[in-house]
Amino acid sequence: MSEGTRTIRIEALARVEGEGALTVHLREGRVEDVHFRIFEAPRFFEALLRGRDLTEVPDITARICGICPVAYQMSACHALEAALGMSLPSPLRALRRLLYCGEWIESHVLHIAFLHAPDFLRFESSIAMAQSSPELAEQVRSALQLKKAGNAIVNLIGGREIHPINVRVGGFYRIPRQDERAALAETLRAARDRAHALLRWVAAFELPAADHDYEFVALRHDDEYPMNEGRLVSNRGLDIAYAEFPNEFQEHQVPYSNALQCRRKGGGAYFVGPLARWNLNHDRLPPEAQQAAAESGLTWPCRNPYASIVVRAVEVLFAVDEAIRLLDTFEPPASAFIPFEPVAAEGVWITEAPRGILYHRYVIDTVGKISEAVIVPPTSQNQRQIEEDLIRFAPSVLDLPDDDAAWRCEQVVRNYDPCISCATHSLKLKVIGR
Amino acid sequence: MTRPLVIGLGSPHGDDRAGWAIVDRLEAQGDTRARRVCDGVELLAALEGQDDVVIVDASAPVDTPGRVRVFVWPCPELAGMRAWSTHGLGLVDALRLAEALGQLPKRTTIVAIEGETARAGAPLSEAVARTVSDLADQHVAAGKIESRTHE
Repeated sequence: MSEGTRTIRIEALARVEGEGALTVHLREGRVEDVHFRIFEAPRFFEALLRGRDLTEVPDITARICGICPVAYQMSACHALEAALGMSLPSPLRALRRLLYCGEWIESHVLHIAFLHAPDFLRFESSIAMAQSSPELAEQVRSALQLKKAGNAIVNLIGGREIHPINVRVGGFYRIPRQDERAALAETLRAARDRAHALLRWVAAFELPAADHDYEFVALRHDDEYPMNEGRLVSNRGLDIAYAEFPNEFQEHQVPYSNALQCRRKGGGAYFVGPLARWNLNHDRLPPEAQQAAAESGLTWPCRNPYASIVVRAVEVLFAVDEAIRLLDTFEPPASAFIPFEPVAAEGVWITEAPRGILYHRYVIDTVGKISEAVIVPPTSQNQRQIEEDLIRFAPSVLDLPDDDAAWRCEQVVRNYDPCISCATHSLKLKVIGR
Repeated sequence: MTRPLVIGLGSPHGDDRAGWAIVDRLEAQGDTRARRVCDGVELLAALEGQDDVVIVDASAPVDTPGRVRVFVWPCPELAGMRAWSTHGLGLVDALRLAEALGQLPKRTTIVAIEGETARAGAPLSEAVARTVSDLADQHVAAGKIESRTHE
């Protein structure tokens, strides 16, 4: 159907984190409008933080999402420590990076194997995929074991697997013992083969062709693949400190979504997340990860958003190896944290959440209460880019039946692994005749 | 006989916390066969190697906050239903995937506690808190949770 008006409407996006919907309006073969709608409101947490003691912020912000709580803790702690003029010693910095490795592994493996792979293999779900053959069932089982290695990191360093509690402003509450660290390193060594297998699996997927001149935005560090620090850079010449973020980026309210959309000031959409990190930091990956990426056929630069699944698998392998390196070279600090005295100040920081850059800004008063909080999560930054991808993509599915067209549009959304925040996951229960 | 593993599926928000709250109470009473999960994939991992599990989850508000329904999987009433899930994989999907992977426990019981609110950061409602307390005590005393209605 290529004449007249047509609307592709997906009321509840499947296989994404959170509650979202998608509407694509087409008229006479052209895309008239695309609305990526988000029902949840993470800004609620910014208001919730006002008046709270700064020491509570890492635990409160961890509750924003069950999938990426570490990211919220990392951006929050670093922003508050910047406000307080603190600089963490090397072992505490290493533990923070190790914790982030755990979350990258958990989050990426979940998305690759359970949410995104079915798109490329033409299954409606990971269940159908696992039912289809013993080999694919084994891939899913292996991915589950790999994800558990990430959980083990978050459990030990973060204090528990869900909404970690061991992170504090100034460091940690407890440093893991040597025997605990050694056991974790063994768990991760056992997971390396699974990470390689995961990369080989997704590298064999047939990726739809796509190529677009995106502005990729990510952190860049002097000598590391970025997680907790770096300058904010783009492939179009952006190179700024965290504090300059509001000069270059601006959040916008759109009438159809509860989440603000962040765009380039005076510009438009930009792309954050694994593909942006790869394009801006591939030379910061260790040689083993670079070699594995090359063997997977991943190109650089890469402007195909469908290749994000391959980059995620490269980042999983990197995170496993990086976690092992951090554990093997860890020298326990004299103290688990650096003490501080509150001062009236402002702090800004950005870290690399699994889905891309996560901006936090806090203003604290003289007694250490939060008077202002701003949080810009990666999905709000990718929202406009997702819509622009769909504006380009939707005309190519005009001739497909509605269900298939909707599925293909969803796949475009899932390239970004949108995390629409964690509100509730109750079971909607309707019992008839009981 | 080994006691069943109690798995609380939930989030920190309002009555969606019910599953976690049961686990909190069991742990406080020294029960080590209880754990929290926050999504279907975590649930899937928790099922691995288990023979007997009780999954406690909140169900969406209807008209009786705190009401308990108990199902034994496989259960046709739940099987055809899409979970009201904010995550990529819900409770029912996780159980179906566990079946596909050969990781389903011999006995899987689902305890659904009807919620009143899942507002971000809200505490448990009074009705759900009462149910959580009763069910945890019942589990500690008898090693099982039975179907009953709390009006």
